[in-house]
Amino acid sequence: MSVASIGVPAIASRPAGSALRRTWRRYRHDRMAMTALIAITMVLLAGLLAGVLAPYDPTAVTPDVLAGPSSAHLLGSDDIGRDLLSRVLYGTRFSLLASLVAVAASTAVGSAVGLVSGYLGGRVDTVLMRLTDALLAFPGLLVAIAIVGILGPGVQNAMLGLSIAFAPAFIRLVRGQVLAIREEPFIEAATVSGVGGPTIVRRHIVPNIAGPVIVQALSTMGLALLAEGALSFLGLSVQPPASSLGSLLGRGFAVVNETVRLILVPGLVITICCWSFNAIADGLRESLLAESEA
Amino acid sequence: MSVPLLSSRGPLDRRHLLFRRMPRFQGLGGVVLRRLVTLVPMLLIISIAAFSLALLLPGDPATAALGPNPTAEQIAAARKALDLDKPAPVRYVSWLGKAVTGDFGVSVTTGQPVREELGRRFGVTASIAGFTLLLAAVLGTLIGVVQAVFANRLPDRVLLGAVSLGLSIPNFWLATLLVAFFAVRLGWLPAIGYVSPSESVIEWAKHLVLPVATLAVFPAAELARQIRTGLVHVLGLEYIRAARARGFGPLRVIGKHALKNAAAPALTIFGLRVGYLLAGSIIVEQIFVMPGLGAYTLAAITNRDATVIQAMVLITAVIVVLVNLLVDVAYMALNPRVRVTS
Repeated sequence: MSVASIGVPAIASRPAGSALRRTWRRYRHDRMAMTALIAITMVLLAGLLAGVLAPYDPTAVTPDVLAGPSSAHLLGSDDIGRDLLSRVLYGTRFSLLASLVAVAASTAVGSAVGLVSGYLGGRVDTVLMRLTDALLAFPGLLVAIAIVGILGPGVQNAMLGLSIAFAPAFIRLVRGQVLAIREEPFIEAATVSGVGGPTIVRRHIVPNIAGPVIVQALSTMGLALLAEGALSFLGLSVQPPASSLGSLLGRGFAVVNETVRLILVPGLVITICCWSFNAIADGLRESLLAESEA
Repeated sequence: MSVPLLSSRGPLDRRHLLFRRMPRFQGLGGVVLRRLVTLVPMLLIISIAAFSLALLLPGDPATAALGPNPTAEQIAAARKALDLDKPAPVRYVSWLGKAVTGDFGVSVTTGQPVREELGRRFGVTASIAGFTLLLAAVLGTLIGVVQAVFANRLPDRVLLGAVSLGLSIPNFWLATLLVAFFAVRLGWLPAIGYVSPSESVIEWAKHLVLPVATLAVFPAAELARQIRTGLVHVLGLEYIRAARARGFGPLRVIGKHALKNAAAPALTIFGLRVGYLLAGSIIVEQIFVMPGLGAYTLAAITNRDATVIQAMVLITAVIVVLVNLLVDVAYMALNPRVRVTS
């Protein structure tokens, strides 16, 4: 085979839309993954529309202290008479947003570092990998807690801490993918055709590693919800009067002798969200695997 | 393909050179030795990171230790006592030198030596972590084996649901639910506290049940998933069919032949969970009010106690690194094929 006959890379010439459609068709037949997709869509909508759906102001105190579920308070009220449904709706919005920001930041930064490390190789790669390995030696939640501890409690610091905690996984993933792909014939073909480095990364490497990165981002969303919940629970993330699901749970635990309702509802929402993201990630991984084997 | 395009570029292709230069140590001992050598730079980076954390703390540790309105002389004396008059790299070297011998300095807030505090609290966290690993290993293996044996049938499906729930349930929620049910509602188990086994073994065990159950769920679910995947694969292989054909019962085939091969990848995942345990102990010790290392770390963070934060971060990372090494060695011992390529 001569060099010239390799020509345009085979992968790039395949229409992108059809691969996406095939993946979606496989995904659609995965019952668990579809259930999760519907569940998370509903939770996301509930969070987005919290301002419309919530019957009360989440911080408004009513005379009904620790009231059970009724037509006035569908999920009852908390220990100082605030409507639980409204608080959970706003808390859901807050938790999802905080996790989303943390995961988006770690995906962007981690992927960029992984791309540079894997594509450039050599000494840059060695140094970056040593640092990544060192960071991986610290348990993720501990990294986040330590960073929050040093910078002070608060949502922004919590999100920063979580982004740093999650980034190494993306660096490792992307670097590994890049190392595998840069040995592929179509990259060599593009290089000898005179295509520049940045273009190769953008046109040939990024589209080929996007799938695994999206799967990783989705399963990290599950972890982020748990970690953000833990930080809020410990009082290291969101500060009153704002609240997230984790801080609602923490507050509800203070009156656990009176009622479990205040811990039951926020915990259930976190679990549903986390399970959904895990199931969606699993379903997508399977579908992409089938696509790459086809 | 006739032209070896670009094949001389990239780190992968230089590997053969690296191996040629390295002296060849044979066997497991050699692998461990090589791994230990590569650990040294990593541990140095970790120690620098742990030390630098405290440099980022706002405020002056000297004034933090003195209370309100100290005089200039007092501050100067405190700075001298804490070595703050010297530059950071000098302090790092002396800190590391002492840390290697187990001397982590004196807590800024309590005035207690960190080392004594660690000794007093180690037993609490070690009890929790030890039983958690044990419970998770037993439970995870059992569930994974049952799933693999009944693969794609009803028991497998039911347990799959339980496993995916176990991976999604927040441990702080689980802990509060367990307290609400077993401590508050039923009153079977204590909700808070810790009793040393030297005082009363029964009380010690009772206080450990809820924290251990809380922390074991996630690693057990993870392990079950690994064991199931590994076992389903192994059970389809020729040598298992051969063992069955020779008339070995299912217990012997699974226990002796299949599980050994399926356990190796599971072990790696499990080793990674040591870090999870150390972070999880922060949450569990907070909820169950136990005087362990996690509670110590959290208190240090809320009080911004630099000495303790440095020590805990360093110790945690060193433990994680060493456990990973141990897991790799065990992995190689279980699976000799890895030794050749690593």
